[in-house]
Amino acid sequence: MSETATHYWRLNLFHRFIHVLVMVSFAGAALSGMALKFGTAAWARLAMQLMGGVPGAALLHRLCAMVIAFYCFLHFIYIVYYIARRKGSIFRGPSMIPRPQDIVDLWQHLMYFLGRRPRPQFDRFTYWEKFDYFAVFWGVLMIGLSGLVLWFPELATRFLPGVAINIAQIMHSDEALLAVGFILVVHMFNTHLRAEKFPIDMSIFTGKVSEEELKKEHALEWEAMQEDPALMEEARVK
Amino acid sequence: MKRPALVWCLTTAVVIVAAAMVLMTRCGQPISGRPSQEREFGSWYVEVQRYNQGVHGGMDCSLCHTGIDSDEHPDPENLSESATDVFDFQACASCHPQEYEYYHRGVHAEVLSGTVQSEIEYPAPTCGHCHDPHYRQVLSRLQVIDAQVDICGQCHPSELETYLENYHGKTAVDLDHADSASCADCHGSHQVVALDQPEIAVQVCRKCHPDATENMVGYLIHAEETLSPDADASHARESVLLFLVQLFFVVLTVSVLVFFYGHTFLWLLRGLHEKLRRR
Repeated sequence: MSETATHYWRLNLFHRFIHVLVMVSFAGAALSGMALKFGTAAWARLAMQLMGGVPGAALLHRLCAMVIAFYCFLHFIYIVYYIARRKGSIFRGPSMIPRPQDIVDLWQHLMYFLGRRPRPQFDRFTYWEKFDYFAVFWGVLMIGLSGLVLWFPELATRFLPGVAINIAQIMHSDEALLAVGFILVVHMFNTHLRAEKFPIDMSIFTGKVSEEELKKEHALEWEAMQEDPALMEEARVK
Repeated sequence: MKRPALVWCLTTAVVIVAAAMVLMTRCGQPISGRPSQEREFGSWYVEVQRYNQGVHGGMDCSLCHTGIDSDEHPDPENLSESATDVFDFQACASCHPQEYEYYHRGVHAEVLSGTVQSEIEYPAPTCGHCHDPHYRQVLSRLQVIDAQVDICGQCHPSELETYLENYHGKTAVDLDHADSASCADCHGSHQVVALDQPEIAVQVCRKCHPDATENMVGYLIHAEETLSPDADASHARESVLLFLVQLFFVVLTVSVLVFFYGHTFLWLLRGLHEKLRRR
């Protein structure tokens, strides 16, 4: 990749800012939460001491929870802004909304892994990127709601039976384990560690992708840009 | 090192570290974070030097062992029994009348007198089953928590297990958080209560959670997730409900992770293959 190669915008400043918030708050909440969940393990006891014991970890966990609530709020405002500004339906054209083609893409991608067919061509958002995105929605909803019950048990049991706290514990802890297990392995591999991207894909921080990468990773988006010079001009990094 | 090899090593390392962290948390871990102190309940042997360092140290033996004449040896037949079971702990009442009285209001005393039936195989404890009269030291709060976990857990193992799974137990026992509640903070130490009446239990919750309502008492500290609870167990319905909730989330977690870990693994192999073929 030479310095003069053409680059295109993929993520705007808002996307990158939100991702930093997601990343930092996830790391803090996951570390403090897992140190409690696996409290008998030696690494957990060490991590707990570094965070200032149980009160320090609880504070960190809840600060991260507030950051998560904050970025959710910002994101919902952004969705409204995005839909208002966008030309055309969000169900057509490049969009995060899942569509039947995603299932076909998944199947063809798996067949490609097994050497049965060439690599499928992807649009602006691939099926695994959409899964990542909606997994955060699901996770924040499940972990956030159960977390509120655990944070304010006295208030929650004014409206709910006491066993709701037990259910919230199971939800919070199992969903968090799923999130950590998914992000640390699957998300890290899909975005950074796979052979095409290794060792790191900086586009989440710079917002830019090279022409070469755009052609390879998002061929259908590239084709659509070829047909619409205005779109191309708008996306090109000047 | 070439890139594919690096990818391979790094990914393998991440997977191994993640797997090891999960395994470490389940296998070979002691039940509590700190090593439990040696307890020598029931022994007839008294170590005088250690006795003198304990809280009762310096007190004359006959203050407590009132029935014993100096030249009369205890019946050797008795030595096969636990000294704790043989000793009459009414002697404690002369210095600790309040504790003695409270004990008699509690459920352990009721089991002992036969007014309440217990399913636990051990006889109900009296003073000496929990308090070591000869070597008892002044304990820190965390040591008291450990002592409760050890002593209460001997007769109530399933309650101990569920307590250690609960946030109160995790923070108090595993993570040295002295402000968390342990056994006696809720159930009382001398006047031991089972807390099966919501109006009494809510008073206990309010010691730390002043805004607790009677609804909050429905929260099971000693929650058991099982599909086949004892039909007459007090929380049979909740146990089944919690089992089903747990099952749903375990199936969800396992299926998502198995599918995507497989996806990742196949992608990794394909990526390595493409890289190696080109060289």
